[in-house]
Amino acid sequence: MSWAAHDLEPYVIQKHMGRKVAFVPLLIGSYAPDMLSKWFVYGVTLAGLELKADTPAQFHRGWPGAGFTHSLTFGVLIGLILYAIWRNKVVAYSFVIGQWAHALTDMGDTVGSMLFFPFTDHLFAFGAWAYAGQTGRYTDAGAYFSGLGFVWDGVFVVWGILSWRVLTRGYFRETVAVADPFWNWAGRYLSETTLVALYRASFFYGVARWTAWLIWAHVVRSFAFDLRWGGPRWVPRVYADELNAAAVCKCPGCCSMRPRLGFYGIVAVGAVAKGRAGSVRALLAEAPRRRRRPKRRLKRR
Amino acid sequence: MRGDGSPPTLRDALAAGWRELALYLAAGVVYVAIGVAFPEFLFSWVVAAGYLLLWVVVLPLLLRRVFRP
Repeated sequence: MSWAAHDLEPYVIQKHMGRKVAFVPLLIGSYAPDMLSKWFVYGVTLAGLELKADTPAQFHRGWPGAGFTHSLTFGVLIGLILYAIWRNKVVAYSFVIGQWAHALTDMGDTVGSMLFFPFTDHLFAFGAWAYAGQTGRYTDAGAYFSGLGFVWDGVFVVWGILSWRVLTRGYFRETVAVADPFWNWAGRYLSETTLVALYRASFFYGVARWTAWLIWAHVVRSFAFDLRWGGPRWVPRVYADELNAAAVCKCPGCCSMRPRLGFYGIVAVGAVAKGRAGSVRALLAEAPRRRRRPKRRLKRR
Repeated sequence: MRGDGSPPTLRDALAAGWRELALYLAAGVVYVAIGVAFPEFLFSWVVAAGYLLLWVVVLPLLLRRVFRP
């Protein structure tokens, strides 16, 4: 699971899509999979009665359970329902983009997400950091902020800060409020300062809690850093193949769990995203190619 | 100003809204301090949003009323 990444992804997407996206459905989409499932993973106490899943990881990501909330099809389904209600394409696909961002981001841990449910209940996982939701939320926080999870969140913190334009009042007025009907409706009752604060709230929450959890985990509680792939190793973690079938899977998702492949994949995707694909292509073009043997012609007799 | 409504440079943005930024930063520092002392505070988005509204909307409004000449 990811923590601050889900708070900050919508701002990064907003920066790249501008008026083509509606912020509130995008944000709700980004939170939706965990809103529906995470409370039962950690457990809650209502009127003295403790409600908690027997197998939290299975409930959170697997099937049977609420793992379908982390599938791409779930996003499309809710998007279609939103379209049927509001007849607004932008609202519908903004939700889908937010929910897909969440599902794809959660592939980073050792459990992953059932991306193509109900066509398959296979869990696609990169396995970069340990899934430890079953240990309770404080140990989970300590583990997440001691492994590569906090690095992943840190990428979004930096990316979010680099997208500072989307946080300005002028941008909110000219772009966010124009594209999203929610702000027009809310603007009838609330001042612009309140609307801007609400718009910035998830960014504030993401950056501030990322900082606070890091301090808590390593200054107050002294959890040990372990930045190895799949770490930290000191926490009991759950793997995708423990939940669903297919112990040895040859699909690209599982193969990329190997650190080297995952690392090269991230570097290649980063290079392409930053527009430096030319240099990678040039490098590949310069690489020695195997010569083809000339075809032998059959002699006619 | 650019087509999307944002200022052309970061310097312009800071010049126009440094007071607002300072308010948000102060809110952030206090939020982190409370969160480190009481981690339960960090779990809820609703608590964070309510806290931010208190800092950047309600508090300036109260201060303006108190110190209005």
